[in-house]
Amino acid sequence: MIETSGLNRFYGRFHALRDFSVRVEKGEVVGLVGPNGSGKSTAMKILATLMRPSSGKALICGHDVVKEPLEAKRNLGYVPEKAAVWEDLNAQENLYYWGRLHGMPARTLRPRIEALLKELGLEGERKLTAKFSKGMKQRVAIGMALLHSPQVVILDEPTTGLDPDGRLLLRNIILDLGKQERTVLVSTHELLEAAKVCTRVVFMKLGEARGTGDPAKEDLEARYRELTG
Amino acid sequence: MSGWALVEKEFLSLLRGWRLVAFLTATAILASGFIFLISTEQKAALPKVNIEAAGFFISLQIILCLGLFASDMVSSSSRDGTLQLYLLLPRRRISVLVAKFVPPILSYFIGIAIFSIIVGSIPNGTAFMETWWALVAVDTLLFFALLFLVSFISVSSNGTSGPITALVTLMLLLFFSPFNPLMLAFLNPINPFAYGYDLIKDLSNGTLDNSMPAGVLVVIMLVFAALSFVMMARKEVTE
Repeated sequence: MIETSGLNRFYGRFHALRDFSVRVEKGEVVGLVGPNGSGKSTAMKILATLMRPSSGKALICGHDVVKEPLEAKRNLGYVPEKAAVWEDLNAQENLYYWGRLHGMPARTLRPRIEALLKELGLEGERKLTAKFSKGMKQRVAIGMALLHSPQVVILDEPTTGLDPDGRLLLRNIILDLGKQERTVLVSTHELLEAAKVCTRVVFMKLGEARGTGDPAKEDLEARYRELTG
Repeated sequence: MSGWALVEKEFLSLLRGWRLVAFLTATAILASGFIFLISTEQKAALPKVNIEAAGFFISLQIILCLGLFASDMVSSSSRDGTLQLYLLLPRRRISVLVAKFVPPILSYFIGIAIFSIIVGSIPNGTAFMETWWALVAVDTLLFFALLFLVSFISVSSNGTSGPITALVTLMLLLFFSPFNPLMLAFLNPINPFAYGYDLIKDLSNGTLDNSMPAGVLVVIMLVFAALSFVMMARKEVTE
């Protein structure tokens, strides 16, 4: 469902992503773990079609993100590191226009929005999102990523700005996505968080994927030190 | 259907933003000035004297619409992070840019409609109407040439306010340049306002024989429209 091969990205002369190859199957929740500047966000932005690779190939549900970006985006939900919402709209309106812009018919959109707002703990919130806290905006951004029921969900450090309740909520959402046979790629700095939600972890450093870890069988901390130390 | 949703969303944002209040206030001031101008004794000399004056007012309206709604249309989305929302939509990026054109275009035609009503309501306005519509056509050409020039700069800038401030300053300088040759007369060959000014001068002299200024405005419009769309297609979110 997600496949990259030999992905490279340069910022000027800086080599931010080096031969990044990963495959994430249906129903898998894969974590990208690494320090700042390890290339996690760059890889995710390329997969989300927000950035072009300097070389290599990236596929979402079999669609090349460079050659078939519209098809790739139809199958993708993306939560950026810094929650982006339309601040002159309220939570419901953000989700409504996002759904309409994804071609969702109004009759299925309304009940879906109500259910999502309830799940995200935002039901009854009518104020503009400009007045929301960082964590509340993050919840709206998560809702927007899930609204059109994408097959692939990419979350770039989604716990940033979330309070403990928000983190627990997000953890359950990610685990549910895995159970629903969706493909999930999530980046995080936190090994404990990765151990709780991921079926596999890819360790990154200096733009490279150094190796993988299995949270069910291995001590992720020891594996992280071994691969990136 | 979903194409309309994008326009609808932009329109809702427009209604809720401070720019609408600023636009209405500034347009009311410009309209008052326009009414004052054409209700003085100058109206006896209409249309010759008032064509240039009316052209001046419409040009100010163009700067207002572009300064308020067009110059910031993509760069503000870069600043607040919402650009990635637009780029994540399963829609061609050209349609995003077209939706972003709605507020400046709408505001321009609202301004023109207000000025047209004022012209139509003056005692000898009917005689002036034919020339008035020719003037509107000339200024509409100028508006679209500048709209695409401004959109190109807005799409090219990466969310920083520097290019936008420089753009608004440059627009004002270019606007006054044809009136005062000492200022930036050397830029007139590439100044859309200078060509708009030439067309208005021709119109006030009763002739529109020289098609060169209109041709240059059309070329400027096409070149910067193409450049805007190319820049939008290549736009990346690196932050």
